Amino acid sequence: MKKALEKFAALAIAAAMTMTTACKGSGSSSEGLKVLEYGAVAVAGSSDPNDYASMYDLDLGALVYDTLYEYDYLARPFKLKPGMAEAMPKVTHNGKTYTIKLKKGIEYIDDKCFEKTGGKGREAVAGDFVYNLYRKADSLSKSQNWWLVSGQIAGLDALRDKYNGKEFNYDEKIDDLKAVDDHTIQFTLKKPFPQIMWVLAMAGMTLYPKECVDYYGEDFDNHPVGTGAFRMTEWQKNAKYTLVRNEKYREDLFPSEGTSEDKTAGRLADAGKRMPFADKVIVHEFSQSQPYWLQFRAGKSAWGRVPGEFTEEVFQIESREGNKKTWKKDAAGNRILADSYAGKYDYYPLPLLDFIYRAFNYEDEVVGGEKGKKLRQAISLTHDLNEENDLFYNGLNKVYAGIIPPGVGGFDPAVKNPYAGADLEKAKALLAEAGYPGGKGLPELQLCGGNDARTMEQAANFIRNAKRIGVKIRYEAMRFAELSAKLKQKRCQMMGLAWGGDWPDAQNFIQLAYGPNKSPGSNNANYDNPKLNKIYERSSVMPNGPERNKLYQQMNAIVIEDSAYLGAMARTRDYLIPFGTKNFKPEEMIHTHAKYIRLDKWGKK
Amino acid sequence: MLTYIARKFLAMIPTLIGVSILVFVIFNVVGDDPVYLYLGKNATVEDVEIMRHSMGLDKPLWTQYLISMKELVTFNLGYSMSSKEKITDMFLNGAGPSIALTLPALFLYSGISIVLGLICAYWRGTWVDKMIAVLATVGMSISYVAVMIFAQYFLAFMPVEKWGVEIFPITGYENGFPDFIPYILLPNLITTFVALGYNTRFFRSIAVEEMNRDYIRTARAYGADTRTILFKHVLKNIMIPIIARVVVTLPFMITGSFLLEQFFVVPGLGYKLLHAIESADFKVVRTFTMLIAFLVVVTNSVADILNSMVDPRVKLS
Repeated sequence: MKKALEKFAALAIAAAMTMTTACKGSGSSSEGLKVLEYGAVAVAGSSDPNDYASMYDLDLGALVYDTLYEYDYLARPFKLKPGMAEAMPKVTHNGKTYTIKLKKGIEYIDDKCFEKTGGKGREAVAGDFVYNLYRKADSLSKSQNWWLVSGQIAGLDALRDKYNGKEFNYDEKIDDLKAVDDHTIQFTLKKPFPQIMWVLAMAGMTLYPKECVDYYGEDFDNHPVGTGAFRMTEWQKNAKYTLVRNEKYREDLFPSEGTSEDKTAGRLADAGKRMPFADKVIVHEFSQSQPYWLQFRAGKSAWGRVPGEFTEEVFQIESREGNKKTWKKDAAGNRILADSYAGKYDYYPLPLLDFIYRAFNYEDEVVGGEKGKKLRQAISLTHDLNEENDLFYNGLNKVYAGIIPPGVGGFDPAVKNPYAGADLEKAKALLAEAGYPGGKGLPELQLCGGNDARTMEQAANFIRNAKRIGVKIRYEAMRFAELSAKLKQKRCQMMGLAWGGDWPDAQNFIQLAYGPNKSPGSNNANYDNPKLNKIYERSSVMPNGPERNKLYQQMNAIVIEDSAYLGAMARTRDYLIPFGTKNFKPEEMIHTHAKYIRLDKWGKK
Repeated sequence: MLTYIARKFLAMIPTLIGVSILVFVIFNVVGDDPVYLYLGKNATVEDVEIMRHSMGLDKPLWTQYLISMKELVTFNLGYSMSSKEKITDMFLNGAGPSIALTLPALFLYSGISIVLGLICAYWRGTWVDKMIAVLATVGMSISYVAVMIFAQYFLAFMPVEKWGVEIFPITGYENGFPDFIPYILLPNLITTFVALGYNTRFFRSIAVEEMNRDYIRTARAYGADTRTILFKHVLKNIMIPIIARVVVTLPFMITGSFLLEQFFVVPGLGYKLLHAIESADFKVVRTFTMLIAFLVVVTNSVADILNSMVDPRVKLS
């Protein structure tokens, strides 16, 4: 009996210890740091600015590497402001030469890769920016981000060609890209490209020290050495990363200006205060939405993105009619949170700069070119995007005509697509005009797309619609690697794809339809219309303004008439913000939220 | 005995070579092209060619095979294309969490199900046997995923939401002892719950068979008590299938549980493998497959050797 009691006591102590350890993980203080925790719905693969391939890489990269320019956190429409740069660039030579002055005294974090200084991080200098671009141009560095500057800086392209497949000479100097002195960067574009400013605000365009890349080699990916607001202390790959405040971070103040909505939401309460507010940031990465959502609802995340499957649980539904859900809305037109959420969270719907579409291979003998135009139009007319939106996106996507999404200059809500379905009679007539009455004589068409359940269901819906006029389509579901390879090799007749904007300018979407960008470039539809190409070339050197927007609209009209693309839709992302989270303004173009956030009650670990 | 062991291990070589060829063919001949995935959406033809060259994919297949074998044998595996981790580190860092998530459960469910199996066999046909059999069937009928989702919701999330008490962490993992312990409790309980049904039924059936042997009747006739019959005679004689079952499970303890690690966000080998498969990270997948094959072959040989030790009737020939 005594032994049994002893065993029980030992077990109880062990259980208590276990519980204590568990509780320590969720809030008790050991170091007294202000801890910010949040979740990401996918994992970051790389912290190397040479290799960013997803927004999750950028979410990490932007916190550890600072950029020359950054998005003004509260300004809408988007605006850039200097980050590491002292001021906005001096642009000369008809918009081709950019001279950028760096702020003085910005230092890298301390790291053992700085062997000369015994591990003390040195000052970030202009030559580090040149090195970054040289490394992108170095074909052997296998950069995933060469596209950011490819074709822009004359001398850099030539340098890449010169050392293509060979060892790159990092000491070679070129006039088109140089460090005039330690604090002055200068580069000259082949032709004006106003969007280069958005590019300069991307985390991949940061400054980083060559000696650290040399020191770590391939392992540099796991040892970010930057000048960002935070530095990394732990990275459990595919699970979480932990950052702590970079004590050497430059003076960075919370913005003093914002929209009227920001004032109402209290986002200007910290105006002028030095950032970051958190001492430690823990980012939990998930690949399943259920644990992500439970973690958020348990109060372990400073903000949450509502996964699609939880939308009905989060928002109140007014009525349901077939697949169509009507959501209860307030006077301002925003959906109303369900009671269990309303007392805890604010809600922020974020329209994304998205282009969700299907496309026809313009080089295909059947569906491509001028010859396939009527067939493409007929197929487009069979498919009702609003129905697809209701079925698969809870009716929350924005359906729009053409390839310019809402939210960028050139988008015109009044534009209608005359080939948007469903109008089966018109579709049948066009199919007959195309030479395939009732689908007779038309071979089975091939549609390539992803192999996840929802994409396949969406494809099934599209195929069913086309079948109603006699067009038979076979779906080839494949993993991303295979799909990517097939698209690059032009082996898909039709394709279901999505494009997330890299920067808030319609050019980033229209370039998908620019002929010279055909596969293996980003124009996977291989669409090539000389008229559009000419307008694109004209618009691409023009600064932002009504004149350029007019050209964008002309190109959009051409694309709609040619029906090379079937679409489109842009998603709305629903964010929930716990009442204790301050300053959070959702925006997926911005990747530095962690430095702006203040919590009423910090987690302490 | 030493000759027997040496022979067993020599016999592994052709098996492993066969597996390596099969894996190579699957990934390098009929599998996805990793180059396009690695280079992303803006790759040019030149980029693809350079990458293909730098990865050695433009070499003849047999050369590629020999290079990959050399990398495996020398443990010079390079870096993962998707997670950018050194592949050897990936295995070293991932094995611990995977084992922590599965090994305690293995001991727990094996121990419990052996005892339950023996109880069922001894009291065969009674209400005890029937009740355990029913519960085991119920346990077997519920899917692993469903148990995970329910357990995560009701045991980890709900206590926090309803009462502000954290019994188990919802997700996550901390390296180092004892920090990792809270994170492995619930996953181990889930695995135990799910595996208990199958194992109890299995051990029951072999124990029942053993209970029908003549020597049990003889032991009873000599007045042997229940404990002696069950634990001295029956358990000893059913050790061969028990060892076989436990040992074949061992390789999968190291490689982890894909689903469990994914749902509980534990950076174990299973989760890493899943990411590698999704990313067509053929180097990692190839190494994993070879590791699993190696472990299976080794553990099977070890099982044979152990069997020969517990049962002298198994000849060392």
